[in-house]
Amino acid sequence: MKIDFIITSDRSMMTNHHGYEFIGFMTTAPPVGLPESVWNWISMPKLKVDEYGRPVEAPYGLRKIEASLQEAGFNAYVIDPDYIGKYVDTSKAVLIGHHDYFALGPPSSEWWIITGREPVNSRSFKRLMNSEAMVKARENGLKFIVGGPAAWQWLWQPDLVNKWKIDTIIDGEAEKVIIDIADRILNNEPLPLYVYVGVDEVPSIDEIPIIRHASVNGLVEIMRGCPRRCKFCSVTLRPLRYIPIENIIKEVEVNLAYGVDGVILHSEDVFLYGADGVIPRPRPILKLHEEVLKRVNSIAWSHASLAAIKYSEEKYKLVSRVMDMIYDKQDYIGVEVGIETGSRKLARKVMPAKAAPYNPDSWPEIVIDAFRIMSENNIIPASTLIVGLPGEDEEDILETIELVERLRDYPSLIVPMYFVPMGYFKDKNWYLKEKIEGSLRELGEICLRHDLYWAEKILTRYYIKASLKNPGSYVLKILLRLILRIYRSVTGIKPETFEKIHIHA
Amino acid sequence: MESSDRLVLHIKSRGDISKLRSFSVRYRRIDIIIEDPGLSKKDVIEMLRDDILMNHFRSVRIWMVNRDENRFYNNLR
Repeated sequence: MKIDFIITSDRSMMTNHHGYEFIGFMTTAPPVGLPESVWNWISMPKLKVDEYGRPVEAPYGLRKIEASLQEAGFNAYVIDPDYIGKYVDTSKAVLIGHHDYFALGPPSSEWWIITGREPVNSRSFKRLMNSEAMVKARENGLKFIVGGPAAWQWLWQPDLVNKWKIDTIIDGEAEKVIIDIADRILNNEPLPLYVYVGVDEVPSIDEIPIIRHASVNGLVEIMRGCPRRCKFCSVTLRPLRYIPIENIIKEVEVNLAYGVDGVILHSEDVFLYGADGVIPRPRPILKLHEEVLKRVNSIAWSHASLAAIKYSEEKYKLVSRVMDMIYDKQDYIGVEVGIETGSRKLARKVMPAKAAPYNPDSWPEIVIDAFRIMSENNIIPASTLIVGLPGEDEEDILETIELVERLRDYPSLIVPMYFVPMGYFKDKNWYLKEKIEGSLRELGEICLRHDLYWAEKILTRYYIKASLKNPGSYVLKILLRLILRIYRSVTGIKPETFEKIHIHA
Repeated sequence: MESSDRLVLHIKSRGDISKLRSFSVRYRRIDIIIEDPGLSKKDVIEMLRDDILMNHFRSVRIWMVNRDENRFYNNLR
């Protein structure tokens, strides 16, 4: 098979995490209490590939680049990292995408700071770039193009840009600009060292291609961009686009054709699909779920906002109505949500529209109401806090601690993340390890206690239901419980920490 | 070189970086051409990172002129 463009990534990306997307978070940590090989087996198993080394599932972003290039007539395929060597004597370029090349983004950077050890995603990427196949690719003069959500990290690793002979860094949505880059490579024309894709170069809805092969765990994008304009977020810099339901269904059907019968609806805010600004509209959300659920066996959401959950339920009972549809397939759903802070002052200052259509001064109450609604509807949130935001003071941290304590009855995970400069704040300083003391340490410990308490219950009750049809699920469950116990023993946190527990399931 | 929506800036030495700090927001795309052959990719990234690359939201291209200058400019689009 002729391949001019090898589209790939390292094993931490080129995996389906045994079909459990949430296990992917383990790739952001260093191995704890287990040999790295066992940790990697749990978190980043190899994918099935065809005779050419093309994985059956691949990261969605790589699939989009593959589709763009194939539509433009290029010989471009996603290739599993173990099979790159087959093509380095004949190909023209290696195109690499990643969520977190050097473990500088959240939550990898937290684990690195806390443990002092490099997370496995970064180790895995370095192994790939130093592999025999990649060394040969460089010797043969293949061009190296890097991009994806973590493209910015190359600016902080300029030594490696030199060492690994990176030709072009593409920062931003690359579906359109990659065509010019591919043309240049085939015509042996000069390549730009760096491309930042501004608003004028992002693809419109019509220019976003439909994936041609399956995405990891059936992930399908339902919208791009976000109208909330939080100052710490890079997604908000992109124009807001809703993917039409017919395109979403086409991608679901591509996944089904490859045997991937679940879907992860990817969005910054599922309840804003088809919204009127920040006001959710029931019809597009119900229609989307109705059409998708006709076709798949399981569903997950990537992200939702707490204000949209509260508004949707209180105004339209929309959360309950959607969950009633989902209960035909499963008894819960997981989603990532951003709490970010318990401080009213910071909510006003850095994320004034995150509470919209409510007032940012009500932010802690919005969070609590949304957690209650999710708990009542068997929605398990994995939520983030951002500590170290510009302008944060002791009072803000204490307010965040107070909020986390008020959330302790709700099944959830709460992870504090240290501020990484993205979005409008991308020129600000990073949070430093030496600042993590006093009330910040207390916040970290409260979150850890919350998470260790709920993690095992969520794991056993909802997430991994061991089945004789899938014997590996027993092993996985045992190993994950073992990891939780190791964490407990290290931190001294006991399971019976909370006196009052509510599980609505 | 300057057109209604595109600005091309030529950097012949490190001293020229100061002119990048004042480029106008009216341009939709900015091409920065590094014409100092003594600079490595690492040098260029470090030189532009804090003031330019971490502090903009428009389309940007950075080019490094190779030995064949004529060919480079013939292919700049």
